[in-house]
Amino acid sequence: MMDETANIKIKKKEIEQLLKDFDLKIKKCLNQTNSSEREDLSQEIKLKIIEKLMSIEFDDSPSFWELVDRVETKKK
Amino acid sequence: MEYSSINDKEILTNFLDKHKLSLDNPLVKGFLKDQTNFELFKTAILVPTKENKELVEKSFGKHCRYVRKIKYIDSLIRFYSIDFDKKIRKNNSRHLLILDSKSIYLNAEEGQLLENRMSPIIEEDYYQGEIDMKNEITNSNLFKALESLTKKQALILELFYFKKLSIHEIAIALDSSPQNISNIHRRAIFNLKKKLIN
Repeated sequence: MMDETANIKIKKKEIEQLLKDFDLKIKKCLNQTNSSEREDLSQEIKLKIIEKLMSIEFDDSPSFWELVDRVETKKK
Repeated sequence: MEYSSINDKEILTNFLDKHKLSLDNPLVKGFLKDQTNFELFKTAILVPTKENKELVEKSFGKHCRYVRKIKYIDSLIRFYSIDFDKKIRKNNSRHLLILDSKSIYLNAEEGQLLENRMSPIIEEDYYQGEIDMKNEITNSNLFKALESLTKKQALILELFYFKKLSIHEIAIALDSSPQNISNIHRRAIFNLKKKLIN
């Protein structure tokens, strides 16, 4: 139980950092829409990001050592 | 001690040479760019125990997940904003704001066009003031950064970007040389960028 709350805390911090990092990118995308809708869009994008980060598991990464060896074996 | 460190170096360069192609993979490259990751990688090669390899594996998995997240968010922002715009446009085209139809609440003026009921629009009703650069800025960070510029820098930016004058025209207006204006403009942009990055 304690572990889970700590996990969520870490996840929240990570999301916050990602949102901060992408702030400029979001602002840039706002330029293409009507000026009256910009605030809405920025909020919706942020909401969507949080929603997706909370729900999607970004697993199934390749194994490092396999990746390093793979190209070599292909060459042979 | 010294002998071993030279030996270590040799082993490392040997490994790097041998796996040059796979280490050029952008994902791997980005992973090894981080100093702590590289240290883990180094120890795993020099002391190839299962534990050390596992450490690299774990760190690499974390890196992969991070990269995947960034990629995902990047395309999410791009496509979501496009979709949002489409949605708004579609909505606006389907639900036009039409005021000309009959209204049950306005019996006396029933059937009259809205424009006939309104007093003619006088142009003076609109705001006729000058377009001021600072009134047009919506980004609060940019606004703050603009405040930090000198008066001359701000003036030149305003003339260049809002009044759409050329450098040459600004030089004539301010009684200066185009080179000087260009210099000030460049410095202003540089300062703005520095402020915004911080």
